[in-house]
Amino acid sequence: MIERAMKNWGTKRRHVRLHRKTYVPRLHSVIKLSILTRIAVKNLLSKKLRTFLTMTGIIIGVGAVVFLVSLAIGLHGVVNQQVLGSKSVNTIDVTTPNATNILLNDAAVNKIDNFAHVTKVAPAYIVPGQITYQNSQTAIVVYGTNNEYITLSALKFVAGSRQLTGASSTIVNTSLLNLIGESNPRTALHKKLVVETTVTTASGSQKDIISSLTVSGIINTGSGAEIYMSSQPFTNNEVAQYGQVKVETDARVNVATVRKQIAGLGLTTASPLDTLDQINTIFTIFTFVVAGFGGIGMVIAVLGMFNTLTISLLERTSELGLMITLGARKADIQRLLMFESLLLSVSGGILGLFFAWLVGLGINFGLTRLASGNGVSGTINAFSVSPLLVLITLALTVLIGVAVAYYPSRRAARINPIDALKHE
Amino acid sequence: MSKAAGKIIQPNNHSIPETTAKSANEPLIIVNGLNKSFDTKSGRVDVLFDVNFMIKDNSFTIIFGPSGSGKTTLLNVLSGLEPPTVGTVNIADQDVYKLNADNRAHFRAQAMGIVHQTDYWVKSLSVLENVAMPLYLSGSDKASALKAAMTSLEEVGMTEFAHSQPTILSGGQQQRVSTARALVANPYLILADEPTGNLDSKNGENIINLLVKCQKELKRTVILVTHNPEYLPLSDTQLYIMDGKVTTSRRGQKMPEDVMNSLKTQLVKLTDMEHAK
Repeated sequence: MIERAMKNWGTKRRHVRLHRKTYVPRLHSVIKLSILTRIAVKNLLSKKLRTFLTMTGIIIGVGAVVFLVSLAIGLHGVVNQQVLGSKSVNTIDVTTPNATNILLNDAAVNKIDNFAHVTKVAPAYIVPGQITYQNSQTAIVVYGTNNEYITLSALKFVAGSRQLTGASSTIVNTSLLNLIGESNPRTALHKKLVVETTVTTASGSQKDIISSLTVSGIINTGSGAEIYMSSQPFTNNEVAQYGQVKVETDARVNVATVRKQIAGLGLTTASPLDTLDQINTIFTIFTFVVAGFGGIGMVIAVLGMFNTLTISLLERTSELGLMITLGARKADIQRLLMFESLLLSVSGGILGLFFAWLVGLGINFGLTRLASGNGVSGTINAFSVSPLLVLITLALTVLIGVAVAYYPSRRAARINPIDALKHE
Repeated sequence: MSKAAGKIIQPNNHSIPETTAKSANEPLIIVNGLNKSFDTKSGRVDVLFDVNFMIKDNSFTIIFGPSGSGKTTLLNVLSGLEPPTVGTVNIADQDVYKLNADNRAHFRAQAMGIVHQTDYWVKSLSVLENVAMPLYLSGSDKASALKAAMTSLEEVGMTEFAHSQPTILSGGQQQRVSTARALVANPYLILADEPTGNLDSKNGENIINLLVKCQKELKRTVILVTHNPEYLPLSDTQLYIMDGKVTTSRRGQKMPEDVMNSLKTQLVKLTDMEHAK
């Protein structure tokens, strides 16, 4: 073999006219990034078990953070959905703090209607009453109102019309149906009820209003027995004031301004934004707390990664010394270690994200199945991986990769190649 | 001698460096007033004193001397790895230590091929990719670097091991691959530091033959560091190192008296070692 090689010696190079080269210094690293990445991958693959264990640490660390944060985001969404339902965040509920001195009457409603940014004003009389059905009597809350108020209330309909269909139609809730023994909403439709209320008129006298109504819609909003009926009988009897007025504004940003103006009339306002803000505050804290718990795993994984890189650097000291004698510059050595670190952290991060998403998806699916078995419709997203979470996680893994490699790569770039070559 | 200094050097020019044709007898390396000392815990240790010599283009030079005389230090200084305490090293009109460490590394990748006594490898890479490493580090693309590496392996008769791991090869095979790596970037200077130190006599002879052919047929300048006097007749220039002092002797010149005495002592030691074996 060697003899044959000797015979062919130089045949390929003989035509190369040898020149001494005038050296042109280069200021930047010249090794191709694709080659550097390839060497980094091969270095990692040459220690398969170590790389696998280190990467598993990153997967668990990143996976735990993503899993817990996606739970916080998912629960936040579920709670918001439950609390707000389809209620618009642009609406304001107006009540009076003192029914004797500050009246919530048509005059007040007209004033509110004239404020800027107010698009709708829907008042409702809210009075206690009782219902007579098949010789039994039940105490109820009566809403004497119009369809605009019903729309703004975002009621959850389970059967029948979503609006009052006439002066004698009524919308009742399932709590009421349960009390009167009509648990099936479909069969309860078109039943006749007699509603009796006692109201205070503008002149201060008490009056009984008795209405005979037909059930046109069923809702499952509210825990007590409630009915919605036309405001006509209350208006006809000159009831002193409304129980509540719903105000709709043109945009969410204007809610605060309109509320201030209404408060100027001495009235009390409430908005779904109050609840939303509280929920947001609670869930922001919750997200940080769970991310902190997941972060403990992450810190352990990062320390493991740092350990791996440091050991790898010690083991390969003579290899890095060799690379310098063969022409590698500080930047090349630094980049090589940086690439190895980034490969570990970013691929571990992507896999961690993927597994956390997969587990969350599985749990969401299980919960939805469980809920539908119990008669609850719709999907339950207790875990939610948002694009922002993905972006932040990926940015974090890049940051970790760079931070972990910073010290070892600087140390590697400073090694003396002669000492390094002697290193065993 | 044409002067590179007259040319405009453009640091950002990534094209092939400009070339200057040289005749065989022009000096390639000029070492001037070189001193090297190390600071150790027990004080300052002077390893090389007032070293001055010149090595011609396309010559075969042997740096010869007893163990601990400073041979390897001198080679490290020549290869740009060990800055001298005082003095200059000019290679192909380039004052090596005027370059910063990064540019010295780049210069080394282009101008020199180094064969070490012990074989060093990037263990995760195959023989072929290890041979291609100097080209990778000079910015070559993968395909052309691997092609040149295969040619180099062909020249040392090691193509069949191209895709093996270098560490599974025998000592002699590893040294041949190491020589292939030294040749791959087409450098004009080959530096070999006791390349036969860990080999049996047959493999050692093969490596020395490779180096001789590098000079004779590929027209490279070869510098061989050895403490084995058997190789001295192969060289046309010898640099004798004794206690840090370097004496130059050319083919046909009479050997200095003190060097001759040292040589005799070395030969006696070697003979004793042979007997001991």
